[in-house]
Amino acid sequence: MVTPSEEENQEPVENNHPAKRSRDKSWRTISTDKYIIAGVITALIFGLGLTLGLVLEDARYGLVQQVNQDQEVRYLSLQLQYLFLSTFQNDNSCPILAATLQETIADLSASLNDVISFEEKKTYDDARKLSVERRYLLDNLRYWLLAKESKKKCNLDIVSVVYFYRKECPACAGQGTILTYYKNLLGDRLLVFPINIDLIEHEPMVKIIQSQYNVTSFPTLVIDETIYEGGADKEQLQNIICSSLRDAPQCPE
Amino acid sequence: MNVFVSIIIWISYVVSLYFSIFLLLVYFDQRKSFREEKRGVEIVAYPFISILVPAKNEEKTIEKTLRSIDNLDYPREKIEVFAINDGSHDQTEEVIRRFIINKPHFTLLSHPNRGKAASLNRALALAKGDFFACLDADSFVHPQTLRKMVAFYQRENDPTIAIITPAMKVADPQTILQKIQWLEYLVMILFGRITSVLHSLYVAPGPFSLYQTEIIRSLGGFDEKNITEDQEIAYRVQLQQYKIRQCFDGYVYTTAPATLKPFYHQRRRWYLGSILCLHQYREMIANKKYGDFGLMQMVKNTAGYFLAVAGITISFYYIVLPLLRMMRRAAAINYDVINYALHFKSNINVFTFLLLDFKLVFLLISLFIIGFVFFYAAHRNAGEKIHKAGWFPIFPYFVGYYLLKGFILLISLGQFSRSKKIKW
Repeated sequence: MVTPSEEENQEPVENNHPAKRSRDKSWRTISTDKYIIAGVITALIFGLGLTLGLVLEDARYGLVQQVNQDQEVRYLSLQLQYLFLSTFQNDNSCPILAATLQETIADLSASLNDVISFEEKKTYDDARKLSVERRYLLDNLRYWLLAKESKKKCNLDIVSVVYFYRKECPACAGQGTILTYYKNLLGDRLLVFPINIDLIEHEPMVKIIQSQYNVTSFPTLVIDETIYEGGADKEQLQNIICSSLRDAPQCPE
Repeated sequence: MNVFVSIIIWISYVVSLYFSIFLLLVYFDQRKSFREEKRGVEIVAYPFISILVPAKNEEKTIEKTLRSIDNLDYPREKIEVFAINDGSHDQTEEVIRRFIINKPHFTLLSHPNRGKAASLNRALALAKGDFFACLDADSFVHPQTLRKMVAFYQRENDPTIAIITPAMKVADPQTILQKIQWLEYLVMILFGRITSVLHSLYVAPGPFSLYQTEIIRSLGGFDEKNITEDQEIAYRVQLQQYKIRQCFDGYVYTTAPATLKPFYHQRRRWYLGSILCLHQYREMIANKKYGDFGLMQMVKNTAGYFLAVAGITISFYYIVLPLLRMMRRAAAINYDVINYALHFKSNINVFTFLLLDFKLVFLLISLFIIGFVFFYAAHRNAGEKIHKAGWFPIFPYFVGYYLLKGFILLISLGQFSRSKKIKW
C-alpha cells in the first residue's frame, strides 16, 4: 500500500473529505515567460506576414504597370498599321492587321481576367486600383473602335461584342460564363469588350458609350450595333454570332 | 470580401497561432527531459489493482479485452478484475462467464442497463485496490502498461496524483477514417505529454486510465448523469487541485469507428460532453488558482469552440459559396463544361502568384509548418513511422478532417445551446 504511508508525510488532514484535503495548489505552474514569448513570436509572424504582404502588393502594381506598357506599344503598332492601311489603301496588309488585332485583344482579355480577380480581393489602395481599372476600360474601348474600323476596311470575318456589366448584377456571372464559353469555342473570331459600368462616376467615357447605346439594364450586349438588353442565353447568343459570321465551322448548319 | 469574414479569419489565425506557438515552446523546453525520461518498469512494492471493465453489447471484443488484462505483466495475486455486464442484449455475459472459468481474480457483475458511470460506481464500491483502472470493452491494454503506470507513480512519489492517463493508439486501423484517427491519436499522445507537464490534462480516457481509489471515492465516484464521465472526472479532479499525469508510453489500443456514422455519434457525444463539462466547470476558465490549466487549457478549450465556428464560416465563404457560384455558371451554359475542359489553358504565371492574398497565405503556411513539426514529433514520440498507415491518410488528415470535426462540434454546440435555452 503506497498511499496511506505517504499520506502521513502530508500536512495534517483536518477533514476526511478530500474536497477539502488537497487545497494545496503550490504545485500549479504558470508559464508566464512562455505566454509572453509566444505573444512576441505571434506578433513577429503576424508583422512579417503583413510587411511581406505590403511589399508584394507593390510588386503586383509594378507588374500591372508593365503589362500596361506592353499593351501601349502594341496599341501604337496597331494604330500605325491601321493608319498605314488607310493612307496607302493597301489591302495586302489586312491579314497582318487582323492577326495583330486578334492577338492583342486575346492578351488584353487574359490580363483583364487577372485584373478582375485582383479586384475581388480587398486592397488597401483604392486609388491605384481604380486607375488600373480605368486603364483597362479605356484599352477595351479603343480596341473595340479599332476593331470596328478594321472590320469595315479589311472585311474581317469577326464578331465584336460589347458587354456591359456591373458588380451588383446577379445575371452577369452567367452571361460572362456564356461569353467565355463561345470565346473558347470560336477563339480569335469572337472579340469581347467588357465595360464595367460601375466606373461611370470616375470615367467619362463610360457615360458616353452608355448613352450612345442607351444602356439601362444589365447585362446588356451590343453585337454589331444591335442592342440585346438583359443579355442573351446560350442558344440566342449562338444564333446571333453564327448569323454574323460568314464562315464558322463551329456553327451548326 | 466580406469584412465580417475577414475579421473572423484574422482572429482565428492569431488565436490558433498563439496557442500552437505556446505549446511548441513548451515542447522545445521539454524535449531534453522527454528524451531522457525513464521508461522503467521497476516497481518497489506492488500495489493492489482493481480493473473495471464495463461492457454493453460487446460480445465481439470483450474476450480480447479480458485476455489483454489476463496477459498483463503484473502479479496475479495483486489484481482483481470486475467485468460488468451493463444490460447487454447480446452474448456479452456468456462470453465473460466462459472466459472467467478458473480465474478466481475475475468477477462478473451483471445488472439491467444503468449506464457506464453507474456500472463503474457499482464496481468501485466493491474494489479493494489501492488503484483502479477502467478499461472499455472495445480496447486492449499492452502487457507492460500497468507496470509502467505503477512505476511512473512510484518514481513521481506524489500522493496527490489522482489519475494516470495512458497513451492511446488506434488498434489495427483498416479504413481510411480509422487511419486518419490513428494519426490523430498519435498527435494526441504528444499533446497529452506536453499538457501533462503543465498539469493541464482534462480527460481521463476510458481505455485504461489508472485512478487512486481513495481520492476518486472521496470525490463521490463517477457522475452518473454526465454523458462523458471520463472528462467530467478529470475536470472534477482538477477543480479539487489533484494531479493528472500521463504515462507517455503506457499504450492501450482502442477500436476507432470505421465509418462516418459511428464516428459522428462518438464525436458528437464527446464534444457535447466536453461543452457540458466546460460549462459546468467554467469557474476555472482563466482562473489563476488553477495555474496553466486555468490560464491556458481552459481558455484554449473555450477558444476551440470559437475556432470551430470560425472555421466553418470561413470554409463556407471559401468553399461552399464559390461552389454554388460555379454551379450557377455551369447552368448558364447548360453544363457543357467539356468545352471549358478542352480549352483550359493553365494561366498560372507570376501574376497568379501575386494575386494570392499573401498575408493570409503566409499565416496559413506558418500554421502548417507548426502543425507538421508537431505531427513529426508526435510520431517519434510514439515510436511510429509516419507512413505506417500509408501516405494517403495524411492528406485528408491535414485538409478535410478538421473541417469534419468542426462541423460535428458545431452541431454539438447547437444542441448545447438549445438544451440551455430550454432550461432557462
